[in-house]
Amino acid sequence: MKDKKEKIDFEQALARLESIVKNLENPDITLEDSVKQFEEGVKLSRLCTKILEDAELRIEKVNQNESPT
Amino acid sequence: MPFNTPQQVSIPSVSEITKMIKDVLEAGFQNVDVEGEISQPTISSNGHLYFTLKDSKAQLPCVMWRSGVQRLNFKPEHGQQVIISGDIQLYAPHGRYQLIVRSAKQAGLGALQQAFERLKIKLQNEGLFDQSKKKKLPFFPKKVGVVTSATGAALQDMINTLERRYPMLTLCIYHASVQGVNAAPEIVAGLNYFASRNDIDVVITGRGGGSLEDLWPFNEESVARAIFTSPHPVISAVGHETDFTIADFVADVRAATPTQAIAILVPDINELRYLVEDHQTRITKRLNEKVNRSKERVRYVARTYALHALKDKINTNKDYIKRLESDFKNRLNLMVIDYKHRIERCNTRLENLSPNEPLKKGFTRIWQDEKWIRTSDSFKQDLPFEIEWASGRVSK
Repeated sequence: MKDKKEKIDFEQALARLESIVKNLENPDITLEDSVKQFEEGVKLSRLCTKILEDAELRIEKVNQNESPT
Repeated sequence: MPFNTPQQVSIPSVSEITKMIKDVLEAGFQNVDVEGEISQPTISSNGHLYFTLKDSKAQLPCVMWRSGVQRLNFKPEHGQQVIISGDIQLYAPHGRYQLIVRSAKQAGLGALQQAFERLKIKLQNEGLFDQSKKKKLPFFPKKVGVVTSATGAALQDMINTLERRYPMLTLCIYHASVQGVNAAPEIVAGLNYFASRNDIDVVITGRGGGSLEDLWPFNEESVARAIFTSPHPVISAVGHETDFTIADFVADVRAATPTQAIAILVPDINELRYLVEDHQTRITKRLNEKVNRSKERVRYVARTYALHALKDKINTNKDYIKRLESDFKNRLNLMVIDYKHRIERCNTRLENLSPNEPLKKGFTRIWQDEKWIRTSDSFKQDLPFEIEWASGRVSK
Protein backbone atom coordinates (compact mmCIF):
# COMPACT_ATOMS: atom_id res chain seq x y z
CA MET A 1 0.00 0.00 0.00
CA LYS A 2 1.11 3.48 -0.83
CA ASP A 3 0.45 4.90 2.66
CA LYS A 4 2.90 2.51 4.20
CA LYS A 5 5.68 3.56 1.87
CA GLU A 6 5.43 7.22 2.91
CA LYS A 7 7.18 7.80 6.15
CA ILE A 8 4.61 10.34 7.21
CA ASP A 9 1.11 10.78 5.90
CA PHE A 10 -0.58 13.94 4.70
CA GLU A 11 -2.13 14.76 8.03
CA GLN A 12 1.20 14.51 9.87
CA ALA A 13 3.05 16.44 7.18
CA LEU A 14 0.48 19.22 7.23
CA ALA A 15 0.50 19.38 11.04
CA ARG A 16 4.29 19.61 11.06
CA LEU A 17 4.20 22.29 8.35
CA GLU A 18 1.71 24.26 10.41
CA SER A 19 3.92 24.06 13.48
CA ILE A 20 6.87 25.27 11.39
CA VAL A 21 4.85 28.26 10.24
CA LYS A 22 4.11 29.00 13.88
CA ASN A 23 7.76 28.56 14.90
CA LEU A 24 8.95 30.87 12.15
CA GLU A 25 6.50 33.48 13.31
CA ASN A 26 8.05 33.50 16.76
CA PRO A 27 10.34 36.57 16.83
CA ASP A 28 12.75 34.88 19.27
CA ILE A 29 13.84 32.14 16.88
CA THR A 30 17.50 32.27 15.88
CA LEU A 31 18.53 32.78 12.27
CA GLU A 32 20.17 29.38 12.23
CA ASP A 33 16.98 27.70 13.44
CA SER A 34 14.95 29.72 10.95
CA VAL A 35 16.96 28.34 8.08
CA LYS A 36 16.69 24.78 9.40
CA GLN A 37 12.95 25.06 9.92
CA PHE A 38 12.47 26.68 6.54
CA GLU A 39 14.30 23.86 4.78
CA GLU A 40 12.18 21.28 6.55
CA GLY A 41 9.07 23.32 5.76
CA VAL A 42 9.83 23.39 2.06
CA LYS A 43 10.35 19.62 2.06
CA LEU A 44 7.03 19.10 3.84
CA SER A 45 5.23 21.47 1.52
CA ARG A 46 6.54 19.52 -1.46
CA LEU A 47 5.54 16.23 0.16
CA CYS A 48 2.02 17.54 0.82
CA THR A 49 1.69 18.73 -2.76
CA LYS A 50 2.91 15.40 -4.05
CA ILE A 51 0.39 13.50 -1.94
CA LEU A 52 -2.41 15.80 -3.12
CA GLU A 53 -1.43 15.52 -6.77
CA ASP A 54 -0.94 11.76 -6.69
CA ALA A 55 -4.22 11.18 -4.87
CA GLU A 56 -6.54 8.63 -6.37
CA LEU A 57 -9.78 7.33 -4.92
CA ARG A 58 -9.56 3.63 -4.10
CA ILE A 59 -12.66 1.51 -3.93
CA GLU A 60 -12.74 -1.79 -2.13
CA LYS A 61 -15.76 -4.05 -2.29
CA VAL A 62 -16.25 -6.12 0.80
CA ASN A 63 -16.58 -9.77 0.04
CA GLN A 64 -19.63 -10.50 2.11
CA ASN A 65 -19.20 -14.27 2.00
CA GLU A 66 -16.03 -13.96 4.04
CA SER A 67 -17.24 -11.25 6.37
CA PRO A 68 -17.88 -12.19 9.98
CA THR A 69 -21.51 -12.47 10.98
CA MET B 1 -97.09 24.76 -29.49
CA PRO B 2 -99.14 22.29 -31.60
CA PHE B 3 -95.85 20.61 -32.56
CA ASN B 4 -95.01 19.82 -28.97
CA THR B 5 -94.51 16.18 -29.93
CA PRO B 6 -94.01 13.28 -27.51
CA GLN B 7 -90.51 12.76 -28.98
CA GLN B 8 -89.48 16.18 -27.81
CA VAL B 9 -90.58 15.35 -24.29
CA SER B 10 -88.77 12.00 -24.23
CA ILE B 11 -85.40 13.42 -25.50
CA PRO B 12 -83.80 15.44 -22.72
CA SER B 13 -81.32 18.22 -23.25
CA VAL B 14 -77.73 17.90 -22.01
CA SER B 15 -78.68 20.02 -19.05
CA GLU B 16 -81.63 17.84 -18.27
CA ILE B 17 -79.76 14.60 -18.47
CA THR B 18 -76.91 16.02 -16.49
CA LYS B 19 -79.39 17.10 -13.86
CA MET B 20 -80.74 13.58 -13.76
CA ILE B 21 -77.27 12.08 -13.40
CA LYS B 22 -76.41 14.63 -10.77
CA ASP B 23 -79.46 13.69 -8.71
CA VAL B 24 -78.70 9.97 -8.86
CA LEU B 25 -75.00 10.38 -8.23
CA GLU B 26 -75.22 12.86 -5.40
CA ALA B 27 -78.01 10.94 -3.66
CA GLY B 28 -76.08 7.69 -3.90
CA PHE B 29 -72.65 8.98 -2.83
CA GLN B 30 -73.25 11.15 0.16
CA ASN B 31 -70.82 11.05 3.00
CA VAL B 32 -68.60 8.36 1.50
CA ASP B 33 -65.13 7.27 2.66
CA VAL B 34 -62.45 6.50 0.08
CA GLU B 35 -58.78 5.59 0.32
CA GLY B 36 -56.20 6.54 -2.26
CA GLU B 37 -53.04 8.41 -3.06
CA ILE B 38 -52.94 12.18 -3.37
CA SER B 39 -51.67 13.39 -6.71
CA GLN B 40 -50.73 16.93 -7.74
CA PRO B 41 -52.18 18.83 -4.78
CA THR B 42 -52.50 22.56 -5.45
CA ILE B 43 -53.91 25.30 -3.32
CA SER B 44 -55.75 28.05 -5.18
CA SER B 45 -55.29 31.69 -4.35
CA ASN B 46 -58.52 31.51 -2.40
CA GLY B 47 -57.07 28.78 -0.22
CA HIS B 48 -59.06 25.86 -1.63
CA LEU B 49 -57.21 22.59 -2.10
CA TYR B 50 -57.47 20.73 -5.40
CA PHE B 51 -56.00 17.32 -5.98
CA THR B 52 -56.62 13.98 -7.63
CA LEU B 53 -57.07 10.90 -5.54
CA LYS B 54 -55.90 7.87 -7.38
CA ASP B 55 -54.85 4.29 -7.29
CA SER B 56 -53.32 2.22 -10.05
CA LYS B 57 -56.48 2.03 -12.13
CA ALA B 58 -58.63 5.07 -11.46
CA GLN B 59 -58.64 8.73 -10.62
CA LEU B 60 -61.07 10.86 -8.64
CA PRO B 61 -60.87 14.64 -8.75
CA CYS B 62 -61.18 16.14 -5.29
CA VAL B 63 -61.64 19.57 -3.87
CA MET B 64 -61.43 20.66 -0.26
CA TRP B 65 -62.71 24.08 0.61
CA ARG B 66 -60.55 26.46 2.52
CA SER B 67 -62.36 25.95 5.83
CA GLY B 68 -61.68 22.23 5.63
CA VAL B 69 -58.04 22.73 4.63
CA GLN B 70 -57.49 24.85 7.72
CA ARG B 71 -58.72 22.02 9.94
CA LEU B 72 -56.27 19.44 8.47
CA ASN B 73 -53.59 18.19 10.85
CA PHE B 74 -51.11 17.36 8.08
CA LYS B 75 -49.90 18.94 4.90
CA PRO B 76 -51.24 17.02 1.92
CA GLU B 77 -48.38 15.96 -0.31
CA HIS B 78 -47.99 14.27 -3.64
CA GLY B 79 -47.88 10.53 -3.27
CA GLN B 80 -49.37 10.54 0.20
CA GLN B 81 -51.79 7.76 1.08
CA VAL B 82 -54.98 9.16 2.65
CA ILE B 83 -58.49 8.26 3.68
CA ILE B 84 -60.91 11.02 2.87
CA SER B 85 -64.63 11.45 3.43
CA GLY B 86 -67.04 13.74 1.62
CA ASP B 87 -69.77 13.95 -0.96
CA ILE B 88 -69.69 13.33 -4.65
CA GLN B 89 -70.82 16.36 -6.56
CA LEU B 90 -71.38 16.79 -10.23
CA TYR B 91 -70.40 20.11 -11.65
CA ALA B 92 -72.63 20.52 -14.63
CA PRO B 93 -70.80 23.26 -16.56
CA HIS B 94 -67.73 20.95 -16.84
CA GLY B 95 -69.59 17.72 -16.97
CA ARG B 96 -67.33 16.45 -14.28
CA TYR B 97 -67.93 14.85 -10.99
CA GLN B 98 -65.68 15.37 -8.06
CA LEU B 99 -65.48 14.60 -4.39
CA ILE B 100 -66.06 17.50 -2.06
CA VAL B 101 -63.78 16.54 0.79
CA ARG B 102 -64.94 17.23 4.33
CA SER B 103 -62.13 15.52 6.21
CA ALA B 104 -58.95 13.64 5.46
CA LYS B 105 -56.50 11.59 7.47
CA GLN B 106 -53.20 9.91 6.65
CA ALA B 107 -53.66 6.26 5.82
CA GLY B 108 -51.31 3.42 6.68
CA LEU B 109 -48.85 5.98 7.91
CA GLY B 110 -50.46 6.15 11.30
CA ALA B 111 -49.13 2.82 12.49
CA LEU B 112 -45.57 3.45 11.25
CA GLN B 113 -45.58 6.97 12.58
CA GLN B 114 -46.65 5.69 15.99
CA ALA B 115 -43.92 3.04 15.99
CA PHE B 116 -41.41 5.70 15.00
CA GLU B 117 -42.43 8.00 17.86
CA ARG B 118 -42.42 5.14 20.39
CA LEU B 119 -38.94 3.99 19.38
CA LYS B 120 -37.63 7.52 19.31
CA ILE B 121 -38.77 8.15 22.88
CA LYS B 122 -37.47 4.77 24.07
CA LEU B 123 -33.99 5.24 22.59
CA GLN B 124 -33.86 8.84 23.68
CA ASN B 125 -34.57 7.78 27.26
CA GLU B 126 -31.83 5.15 27.01
CA GLY B 127 -29.42 7.91 26.04
CA LEU B 128 -28.70 6.74 22.50
CA PHE B 129 -29.13 10.28 21.20
CA ASP B 130 -26.98 11.99 23.86
CA GLN B 131 -24.64 14.61 22.49
CA SER B 132 -22.02 13.44 24.98
CA LYS B 133 -21.94 10.03 23.25
CA LYS B 134 -21.26 11.50 19.82
CA LYS B 135 -17.85 10.63 18.40
CA LYS B 136 -15.78 13.22 16.58
CA LEU B 137 -15.02 12.76 12.90
CA PRO B 138 -11.34 12.56 11.95
CA PHE B 139 -10.01 15.45 9.87
CA PHE B 140 -8.36 13.30 7.24
CA PRO B 141 -10.02 9.87 7.14
CA LYS B 142 -8.02 7.22 5.27
CA LYS B 143 -10.53 4.41 5.13
CA VAL B 144 -14.25 4.92 5.07
CA GLY B 145 -16.76 2.09 5.30
CA VAL B 146 -20.06 2.48 3.48
CA VAL B 147 -23.14 0.40 4.14
CA THR B 148 -25.62 0.99 1.32
CA SER B 149 -26.92 -0.50 -1.88
CA ALA B 150 -24.05 -1.16 -4.28
CA THR B 151 -26.35 -0.26 -7.16
CA GLY B 152 -28.05 2.76 -5.60
CA ALA B 153 -27.76 6.38 -6.62
CA ALA B 154 -26.62 7.21 -3.07
CA LEU B 155 -23.36 5.30 -3.53
CA GLN B 156 -22.74 6.82 -6.95
CA ASP B 157 -23.34 10.30 -5.50
CA MET B 158 -20.80 9.61 -2.75
CA ILE B 159 -18.18 8.28 -5.18
CA ASN B 160 -18.68 11.25 -7.51
CA THR B 161 -18.37 13.70 -4.66
CA LEU B 162 -15.23 12.00 -3.38
CA GLU B 163 -13.62 11.98 -6.82
CA ARG B 164 -14.16 15.68 -7.09
CA ARG B 165 -13.59 16.76 -3.51
CA TYR B 166 -11.14 14.41 -1.83
CA PRO B 167 -9.82 11.46 -3.84
CA MET B 168 -7.39 10.60 -1.06
CA LEU B 169 -9.04 7.73 0.72
CA THR B 170 -10.17 4.17 0.36
CA LEU B 171 -13.88 3.59 0.24
CA CYS B 172 -14.88 0.13 1.49
CA ILE B 173 -18.31 -0.78 0.25
CA TYR B 174 -20.53 -3.25 2.05
CA HIS B 175 -23.60 -3.93 -0.01
CA ALA B 176 -26.90 -3.98 1.87
CA SER B 177 -30.46 -3.69 0.65
CA VAL B 178 -31.85 -0.37 1.78
CA GLN B 179 -35.53 -1.15 1.51
CA GLY B 180 -37.71 -4.14 2.10
CA VAL B 181 -37.73 -6.80 4.79
CA ASN B 182 -34.08 -7.82 4.36
CA ALA B 183 -32.76 -4.31 4.58
CA ALA B 184 -32.47 -3.87 8.35
CA PRO B 185 -30.62 -7.16 9.01
CA GLU B 186 -28.27 -6.50 6.09
CA ILE B 187 -27.53 -2.97 7.25
CA VAL B 188 -26.86 -4.30 10.75
CA ALA B 189 -24.53 -6.96 9.29
CA GLY B 190 -22.64 -4.24 7.41
CA LEU B 191 -22.31 -2.03 10.46
CA ASN B 192 -21.12 -4.98 12.55
CA TYR B 193 -18.66 -5.99 9.84
CA PHE B 194 -17.02 -2.56 9.90
CA ALA B 195 -17.15 -2.53 13.71
CA SER B 196 -14.92 -5.63 13.62
CA ARG B 197 -12.31 -3.90 11.45
CA ASN B 198 -9.92 -1.56 13.18
CA ASP B 199 -8.53 0.05 10.03
CA ILE B 200 -11.80 1.90 9.41
CA ASP B 201 -11.96 5.58 10.39
CA VAL B 202 -15.60 6.35 9.69
CA VAL B 203 -18.71 4.49 8.60
CA ILE B 204 -21.44 5.99 6.44
CA THR B 205 -24.81 4.33 6.09
CA GLY B 206 -27.66 5.65 4.06
CA ARG B 207 -29.74 5.72 0.92
CA GLY B 208 -31.50 8.18 -1.33
CA GLY B 209 -34.80 9.81 -0.41
CA GLY B 210 -38.12 8.03 -0.48
CA SER B 211 -41.39 7.51 1.27
CA LEU B 212 -41.57 6.78 4.97
CA GLU B 213 -42.00 3.11 4.09
CA ASP B 214 -38.91 3.17 1.90
CA LEU B 215 -36.82 4.73 4.64
CA TRP B 216 -38.19 2.40 7.26
CA PRO B 217 -35.08 0.20 7.67
CA PHE B 218 -33.34 3.27 9.06
CA ASN B 219 -36.07 3.51 11.68
CA GLU B 220 -35.49 -0.02 12.93
CA GLU B 221 -34.27 -0.52 16.46
CA SER B 222 -31.64 -3.07 15.38
CA VAL B 223 -30.07 -0.55 13.00
CA ALA B 224 -30.14 2.16 15.65
CA ARG B 225 -28.37 -0.11 18.14
CA ALA B 226 -25.74 -1.21 15.62
CA ILE B 227 -24.99 2.45 14.89
CA PHE B 228 -24.77 3.21 18.59
CA THR B 229 -22.36 0.38 19.36
CA SER B 230 -20.06 1.09 16.41
CA PRO B 231 -16.53 1.83 17.68
CA HIS B 232 -16.07 4.12 14.66
CA PRO B 233 -17.97 7.37 14.15
CA VAL B 234 -21.07 6.81 12.03
CA ILE B 235 -22.62 9.27 9.60
CA SER B 236 -26.24 8.71 8.64
CA ALA B 237 -27.04 9.88 5.15
CA VAL B 238 -30.64 9.05 4.51
CA GLY B 239 -32.74 10.72 1.87
CA HIS B 240 -33.29 14.39 1.40
CA GLU B 241 -33.48 17.35 3.71
CA THR B 242 -36.88 16.71 5.23
CA ASP B 243 -36.59 13.02 6.01
CA PHE B 244 -35.47 12.43 9.55
CA THR B 245 -34.95 8.85 10.67
CA ILE B 246 -34.08 7.17 13.97
CA ALA B 247 -30.67 6.46 12.42
CA ASP B 248 -30.20 10.22 12.04
CA PHE B 249 -30.76 10.72 15.76
CA VAL B 250 -28.37 7.96 16.84
CA ALA B 251 -25.62 8.65 14.32
CA ASP B 252 -22.64 10.72 15.42
CA VAL B 253 -23.28 13.05 12.52
CA ARG B 254 -26.41 13.39 10.45
CA ALA B 255 -26.14 14.34 6.80
CA ALA B 256 -29.23 15.31 4.87
CA THR B 257 -28.05 13.51 1.74
CA PRO B 258 -25.27 11.06 0.78
CA THR B 259 -23.52 13.89 -1.08
CA GLN B 260 -23.65 16.05 2.01
CA ALA B 261 -22.17 13.20 4.09
CA ILE B 262 -19.01 13.38 2.00
CA ALA B 263 -18.92 17.17 2.18
CA ILE B 264 -19.10 16.97 5.98
CA LEU B 265 -16.56 14.17 6.21
CA VAL B 266 -13.68 15.43 4.08
CA PRO B 267 -12.09 18.77 3.26
CA ASP B 268 -11.99 20.03 -0.30
CA ILE B 269 -8.72 19.08 -1.99
CA ASN B 270 -8.55 22.52 -3.60
CA GLU B 271 -8.65 24.17 -0.21
CA LEU B 272 -5.81 21.90 0.89
CA ARG B 273 -3.79 22.93 -2.16
CA TYR B 274 -4.31 26.57 -1.26
CA LEU B 275 -3.48 25.87 2.36
CA VAL B 276 -0.17 24.20 1.52
CA GLU B 277 0.69 27.00 -0.94
CA ASP B 278 -0.15 29.54 1.71
CA HIS B 279 2.08 27.85 4.29
CA GLN B 280 4.94 27.71 1.81
CA THR B 281 4.52 31.41 1.02
CA ARG B 282 4.40 32.27 4.68
CA ILE B 283 7.53 30.42 5.69
CA THR B 284 9.43 31.92 2.74
CA LYS B 285 8.29 35.36 3.75
CA ARG B 286 9.19 34.80 7.40
CA LEU B 287 12.65 33.53 6.53
CA ASN B 288 13.31 36.50 4.26
CA GLU B 289 12.18 38.84 6.99
CA LYS B 290 14.43 37.10 9.48
CA VAL B 291 17.46 37.32 7.16
CA ASN B 292 16.79 40.97 6.41
CA ARG B 293 16.38 41.78 10.08
CA SER B 294 19.65 40.02 10.87
CA LYS B 295 21.44 41.91 8.10
CA GLU B 296 20.00 45.13 9.39
CA ARG B 297 21.23 44.31 12.87
CA VAL B 298 24.73 43.56 11.63
CA ARG B 299 24.79 46.88 9.80
CA TYR B 300 23.49 48.67 12.85
CA VAL B 301 26.04 47.14 15.19
CA ALA B 302 28.83 47.98 12.73
CA ARG B 303 27.86 51.63 12.92
CA THR B 304 27.74 51.89 16.68
CA TYR B 305 30.26 53.87 18.78
CA ALA B 306 30.83 50.87 21.06
CA LEU B 307 32.21 48.83 18.19
CA HIS B 308 34.44 51.68 17.08
CA ALA B 309 35.71 52.14 20.64
CA LEU B 310 36.42 48.44 20.75
CA LYS B 311 38.24 48.61 17.42
CA ASP B 312 40.37 51.55 18.72
CA LYS B 313 41.16 49.66 21.86
CA ILE B 314 42.24 46.63 19.86
CA ASN B 315 44.45 48.78 17.64
CA THR B 316 46.03 50.56 20.62
CA ASN B 317 46.82 47.25 22.24
CA LYS B 318 48.21 45.88 19.00
CA ASP B 319 50.56 48.85 18.78
CA TYR B 320 51.59 48.43 22.37
CA ILE B 321 52.34 44.76 21.80
CA LYS B 322 54.43 45.65 18.73
CA ARG B 323 56.38 48.22 20.73
CA LEU B 324 57.01 45.78 23.51
CA GLU B 325 58.17 43.20 20.99
CA SER B 326 60.71 45.52 19.35
CA ASP B 327 61.91 46.83 22.75
CA PHE B 328 62.45 43.32 23.84
CA LYS B 329 64.40 42.46 20.66
CA ASN B 330 66.62 45.52 21.02
CA ARG B 331 67.38 44.82 24.61
CA LEU B 332 68.18 41.23 23.83
CA ASN B 333 70.60 42.29 21.09
CA LEU B 334 72.32 44.73 23.41
CA MET B 335 72.68 42.07 26.04
CA VAL B 336 74.11 39.60 23.53
CA ILE B 337 76.66 42.17 22.31
CA ASP B 338 77.61 43.01 25.88
CA TYR B 339 78.16 39.37 26.74
CA LYS B 340 80.23 38.84 23.58
CA HIS B 341 82.55 41.74 24.59
CA ARG B 342 82.94 40.42 28.05
CA ILE B 343 83.78 36.92 26.74
CA GLU B 344 86.39 38.39 24.38
CA ARG B 345 88.02 40.33 27.20
CA CYS B 346 88.16 37.24 29.34
CA ASN B 347 89.74 35.28 26.50
CA THR B 348 92.48 37.93 26.07
CA ARG B 349 93.26 37.91 29.77
CA LEU B 350 93.22 34.14 29.85
CA GLU B 351 95.66 34.00 26.97
CA ASN B 352 98.03 36.38 28.75
CA LEU B 353 97.96 34.15 31.78
CA SER B 354 98.71 31.02 29.80
CA PRO B 355 101.92 29.11 30.82
CA ASN B 356 102.74 28.74 27.11
CA GLU B 357 103.01 32.52 26.72
CA PRO B 358 106.75 32.60 28.00
CA LEU B 359 107.70 29.91 25.43
CA LYS B 360 106.71 32.34 22.65
CA LYS B 361 109.24 34.78 24.08
CA GLY B 362 112.13 32.18 23.93
CA PHE B 363 111.77 30.64 27.43
CA THR B 364 111.99 26.83 27.70
CA ARG B 365 110.37 24.26 29.93
CA ILE B 366 111.94 21.06 31.32
CA TRP B 367 109.79 17.85 31.27
CA GLN B 368 110.72 14.68 33.11
CA ASP B 369 108.42 11.68 33.13
CA GLU B 370 105.75 13.89 31.42
CA LYS B 371 105.85 16.31 34.33
CA TRP B 372 106.73 19.95 34.20
CA ILE B 373 109.82 20.36 36.42
CA ARG B 374 109.33 23.73 38.01
CA THR B 375 112.09 23.61 40.65
CA SER B 376 115.76 22.33 40.68
CA ASP B 377 114.85 20.09 43.58
CA SER B 378 112.36 18.22 41.45
CA PHE B 379 115.02 17.48 38.76
CA LYS B 380 116.49 14.02 38.86
CA GLN B 381 120.05 13.93 37.51
CA ASP B 382 120.11 10.29 36.48
CA LEU B 383 116.83 10.26 34.51
CA PRO B 384 116.24 11.40 30.91
CA PHE B 385 114.45 14.71 30.33
CA GLU B 386 112.99 16.87 27.61
CA ILE B 387 113.40 20.53 26.81
CA GLU B 388 110.36 22.28 25.32
CA TRP B 389 110.44 25.32 23.09
CA ALA B 390 107.52 26.94 21.50
CA SER B 391 108.60 25.30 18.27
CA GLY B 392 108.98 21.76 19.71
CA ARG B 393 110.63 19.37 22.15
CA VAL B 394 114.14 17.80 22.34
CA SER B 395 114.76 14.65 24.41
CA LYS B 396 118.09 14.23 26.40
